Amino acid sequence: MTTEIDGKQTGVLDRSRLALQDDFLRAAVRFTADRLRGKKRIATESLGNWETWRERGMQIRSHTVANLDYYLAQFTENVEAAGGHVHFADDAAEAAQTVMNILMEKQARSVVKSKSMVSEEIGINHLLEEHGIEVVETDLGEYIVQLARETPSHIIIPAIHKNRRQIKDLFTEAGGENLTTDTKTLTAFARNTMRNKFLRADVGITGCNFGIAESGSVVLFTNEGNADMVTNLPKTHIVLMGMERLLPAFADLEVMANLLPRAATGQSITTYMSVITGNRRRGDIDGAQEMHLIVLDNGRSRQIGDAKMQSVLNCIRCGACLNVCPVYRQIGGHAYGSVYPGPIGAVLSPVLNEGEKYADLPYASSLCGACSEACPVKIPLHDLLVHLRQRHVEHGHTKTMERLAFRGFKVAFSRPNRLNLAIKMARLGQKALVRNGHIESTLGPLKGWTAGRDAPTVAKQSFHDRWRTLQSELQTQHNHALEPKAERGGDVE
Amino acid sequence: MKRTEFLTRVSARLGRNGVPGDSPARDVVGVPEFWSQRELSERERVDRFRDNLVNLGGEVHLVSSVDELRDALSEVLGSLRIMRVGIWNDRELQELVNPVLESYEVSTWGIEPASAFVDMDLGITGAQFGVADTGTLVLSCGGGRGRSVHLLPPVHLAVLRASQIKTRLGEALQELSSHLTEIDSYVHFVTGPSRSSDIENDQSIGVHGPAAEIVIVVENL
Ligand code: SF4
Repeated sequence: MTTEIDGKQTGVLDRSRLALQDDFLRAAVRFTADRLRGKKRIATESLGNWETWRERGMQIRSHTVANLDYYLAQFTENVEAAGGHVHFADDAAEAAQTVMNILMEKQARSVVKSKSMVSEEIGINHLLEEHGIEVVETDLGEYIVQLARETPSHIIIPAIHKNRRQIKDLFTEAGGENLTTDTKTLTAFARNTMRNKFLRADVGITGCNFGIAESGSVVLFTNEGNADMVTNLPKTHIVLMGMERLLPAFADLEVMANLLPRAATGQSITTYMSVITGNRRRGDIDGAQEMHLIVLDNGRSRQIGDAKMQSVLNCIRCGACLNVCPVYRQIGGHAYGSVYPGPIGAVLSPVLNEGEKYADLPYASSLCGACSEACPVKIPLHDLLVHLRQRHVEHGHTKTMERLAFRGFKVAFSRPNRLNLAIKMARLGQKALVRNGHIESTLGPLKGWTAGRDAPTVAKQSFHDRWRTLQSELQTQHNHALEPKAERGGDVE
Repeated sequence: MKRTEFLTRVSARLGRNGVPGDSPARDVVGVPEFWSQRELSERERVDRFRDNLVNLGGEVHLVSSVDELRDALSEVLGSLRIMRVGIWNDRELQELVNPVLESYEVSTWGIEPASAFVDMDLGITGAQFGVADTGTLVLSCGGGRGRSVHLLPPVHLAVLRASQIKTRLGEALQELSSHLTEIDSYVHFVTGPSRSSDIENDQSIGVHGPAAEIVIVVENL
């Protein structure tokens, strides 16, 4: 995606260079990624049989996507049977318009939202503001990002790029008095501010982690409790759901409830798992009176039937692939310039939006394979990235692109530390530059890099082994602060 | 019609003419067998439930009679200097705790207006199940079991019978699955107090939901 920085059109390479200038960002992204990753490791080890769980997760997701027409029909019928209204949207604009229509009909003046990647995808906040409707992000991290007029930099912890002083300033601007930079004080301000908003809001908007086909239930995984306020306090509840986010049955939810929180934040389960089936029943005193489900396609159905790309729809948006990605760890989420960052973003953004807009994103990867290994539903992300590069090549805009990427990244990652070396090494792994765990000192101009790129000649496994060795070296060097105590992370949806 | 068009497109991508009438055959459903076949005694389930919840900052009181339950409740209310208590309109629950609540300002869901529940110090609920594996409470909300009772106050206290504690999450989900037509519109799985790490990865408790989760588990009841 190209965006404007200082009035100039820029691509992912420029943005990553800019990101590298922000030392706080780099440190924060790495710290957060390490923390989530360390917690994930502890959580998966204590569960045991992680590979079996992943396999099961992959099977369930693949089955669902392979029968998506059936499950979508069943799910939406059940939502209606439970009193909900169902809307289908082909693209982002149609979904946004559907939201607008509901708000108009309700004459809504204020909307509360809980974290939803689909809502970012359809850019709804902007539209609502244009119509003079107050829209408030109620997830703490999203609220910070909203006050800063920015976009999330991580799909699980959206505001990792903000430090507490900046947060205090933002909260002060938003009406906070005598705030300190203390976490408690800042949280209390958000809690109190939000309480009023929840109680006053006309409409609540949430995403959907999973829809259960057999019951028509919408399932949300969260930690703060804001989603439950958003769902239950306003009269109208709008659910934004990507069309692929289904599970056949509650039995399958048990698998995802074991996989998603562990992969996302290293929790054995999130604080809240909310199962919402239609609107409030006769005799209920609280809960939304009207529930609207908007099912979004926006390029998703195009991936079905594409043998290579279909698996991208298995994604459960846990963010684990971000945390292990050497490129993401260096440049952070914003450099991707798309709603979905990291390896999943590098795959998803160009396939959901065809054309040149995100065509450079598959190059924002070292193809080291760490993402595929981290994925709880076994999406072969790096294979998909290679596939997208090939597709890109076939479409003719290649060599320049590749060379550009190479040059850009060489500059972007030229800082003399081990992690940078790791990235280069990972990229060069296929060239067998690593011997006995050491990196050849004569990396030189990395000649011939382009030529061998998309057709790895070295067996995948040995490369992965090298990568693991390197990872453990890096772990020691950076002295990762892993907290073994039970601790909670950001909201999953 | 939009719906048909939308679904037909998906069917076409899957290489078929329309949405199949029969439910698709499945190789695997739900969790692996090694997981579903675990069996724990009630003692083990209670202990695991308590350990997991305490580990997440929750508070668990194990009692073995109605008198002990009331003592524990009255101690909690006293030590937290609670004044206003909201409670589910649920006969069984109320009979257990009412004698303790006489000296408090009590709002019962469905009797007092919902707006009263915005200002409660503590909400008392029952729970449909506990889950030992994760320290989770399953609150199926509807009718007299209002959602706001446990969501809005800073403290949530639940009374749970030991026999209601299941080993794994799947057992509670199975219950939902086998009563699909009567499913409440809101079933809340609650594990410990509300929390966030959104400010510099620093954990804070009680962001939007309750800052304290207290469960009184009654054995032999
Ligand atoms: S691709 Fe896999 S690891 Fe990445 S967000 Fe999706 S499910 Fe998680």
